[in-house]
Amino acid sequence: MVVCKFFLEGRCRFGVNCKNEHTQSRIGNTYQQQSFNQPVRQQYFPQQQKLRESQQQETNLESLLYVVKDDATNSMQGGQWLFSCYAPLLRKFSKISYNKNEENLPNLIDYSPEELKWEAMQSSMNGKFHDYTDKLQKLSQNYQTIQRALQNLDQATSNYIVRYERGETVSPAGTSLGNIASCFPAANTTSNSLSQFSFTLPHTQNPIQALNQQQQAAVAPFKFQLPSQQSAGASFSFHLPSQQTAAASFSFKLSPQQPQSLINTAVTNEPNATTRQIPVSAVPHITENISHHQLSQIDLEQFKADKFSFGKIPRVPPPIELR
Amino acid sequence: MFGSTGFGGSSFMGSNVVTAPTNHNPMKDFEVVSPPDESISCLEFSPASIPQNFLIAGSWDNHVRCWEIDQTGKSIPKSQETMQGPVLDVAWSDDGSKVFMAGCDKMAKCWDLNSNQSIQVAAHDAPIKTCHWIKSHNYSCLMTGSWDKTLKFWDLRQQSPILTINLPERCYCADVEYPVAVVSTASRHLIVYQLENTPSEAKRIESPLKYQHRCVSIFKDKKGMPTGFALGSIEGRVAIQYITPSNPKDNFTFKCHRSNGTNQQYQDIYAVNDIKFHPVHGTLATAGSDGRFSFWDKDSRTKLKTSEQMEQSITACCFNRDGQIFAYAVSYDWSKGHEFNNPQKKNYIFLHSCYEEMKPRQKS
Repeated sequence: MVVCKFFLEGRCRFGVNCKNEHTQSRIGNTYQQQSFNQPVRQQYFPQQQKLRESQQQETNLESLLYVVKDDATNSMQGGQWLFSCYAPLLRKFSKISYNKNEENLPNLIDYSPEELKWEAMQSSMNGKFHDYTDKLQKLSQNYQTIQRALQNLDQATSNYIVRYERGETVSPAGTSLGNIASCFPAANTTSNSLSQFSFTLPHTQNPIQALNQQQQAAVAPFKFQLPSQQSAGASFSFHLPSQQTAAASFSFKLSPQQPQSLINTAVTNEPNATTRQIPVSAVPHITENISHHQLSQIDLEQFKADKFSFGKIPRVPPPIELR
Repeated sequence: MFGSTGFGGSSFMGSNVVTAPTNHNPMKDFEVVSPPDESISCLEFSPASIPQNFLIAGSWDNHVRCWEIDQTGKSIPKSQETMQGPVLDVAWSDDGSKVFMAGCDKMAKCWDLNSNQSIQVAAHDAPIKTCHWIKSHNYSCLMTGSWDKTLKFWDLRQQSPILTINLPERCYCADVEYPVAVVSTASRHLIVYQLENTPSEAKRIESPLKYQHRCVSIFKDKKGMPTGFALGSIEGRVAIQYITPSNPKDNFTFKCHRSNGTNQQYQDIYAVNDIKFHPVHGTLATAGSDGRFSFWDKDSRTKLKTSEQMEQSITACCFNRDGQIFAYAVSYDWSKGHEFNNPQKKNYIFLHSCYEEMKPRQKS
């Protein structure tokens, strides 16, 4: 009997009534990753054919590298959250049962939106919002560089990933994944070496020194708009519930401000909620290029300097030459 | 002038420009009065042990608010409690008399609703991301997961935790359905704990997702025993994972909260901010950074419904005790950084009548 090819793909609509044979293939039905009523082409893992091939013979991980490329491209084009770890998971198609390398690629550390928001709030409370935006900009450059490397997959990067997924001891140094890594120890989730935020281990205070300064044309440029001059009278404030104009206002009995504490921990007194502000950039994003000549002298100096001076932050983006 | 709210201009995330809807309540749901001014991080309805429906919301403005929701969908503000930092998670005690809250002030507090008193019951070295109440036949305790890479269990009468478990990384999300707890951390770690007698690690599970985990929710089998969980990531994908699958085919992943960007070739990818299971039907709801929520049937592997798009992302959602009401919070989830934070934008909490919509599809 003819084996039903739709059944092998997990999508035969005749079921038991099918006139073709429904037998599991020798490897078993590997179509594990069904999508919700979505076409087959949107499977998570490589196509059935490649899957069966790679499991039948010694795995050719090189042929699966396109998955890494696609992941990086889709995430960059799709506006995905940038500060995430990444696990290529090519090893799942390898016959090697034990792989001492972590699933996650080194140098890509998770930062959740909540962590960054909390960091932003704290910096703002300490009057150091600039520091936060600077650090964040550097951090995002690092992640973007790595994502671009994964998109382009030059020979060195490809070799590294294949060997990494095979469980070999390899270092990303020398590849485009490694330019950032070279100043930090190899991936160790407890060291958080890439992070520069206060919530991580105290020794990671130095900003990245050996940053690859070349600004390759970014697919999605991370444009930071520095806080405006009006940060003093910030538009971002926490409203007290009493300012609500809703008809049904809260008739709450306020609990005592200092709750009894059973526990003798040193609780830092955070400033009153009403004074916490995060500066909101007032300059909307401008995409036009402004030539040298239209900039004021002060603006030009600012762009040429290493850091913006407070009070002299230009209101227009830098000209192309200075980017 | 304020930072871009998403109208025009590119963000660091790419050129996905979303035309914001002009209607703040496109689903025509009941609007909860006096919502928080800052982002809402967590929502929880009162448990089945009390007859009324109370809704608790924790917010980045340091407050935990309580409303009573009546039969007509009207919300009545009841009370409010304050922490010393943004609130990241809230939980109810099993008898519905106390509310636990935890957050960036590294503390967890227990708020007794009857007396309106609150006391500190937990402390960590870093913000507490998750808190869950565990009720066992021989013990009850509060489980807190923190960015200090520990999971602590607190008997409310004692100053020190009764148990501290080290996590491989910062705790990002957790869920408890006795006798199982699932915790997920940074770097895609997934740990299952069994809670009988004393909590202990039962299993480490290899994550089926490739990117940062964001939310997790345990589901139960027909007999009411916890059997698996749904896991959401920042990559617009959810994994349905059985703790001990009878068949590896039982585990699967699906994409969600994706949209066709202006660039047709690539989809916009949004994070899954929250996942909750319907208490009666066992179907699940996902809340996305794209400002939509969707209902899914994991057994027939079908999508039941997707909502209209809200003005901002949906940061939290929950079902009430009998599965009649689906509450969801519309506020900024920081998915595009500080540039897109617009404090002038109003936050909302909506109540959606969901019982019929969430009925499972017949398996074809």
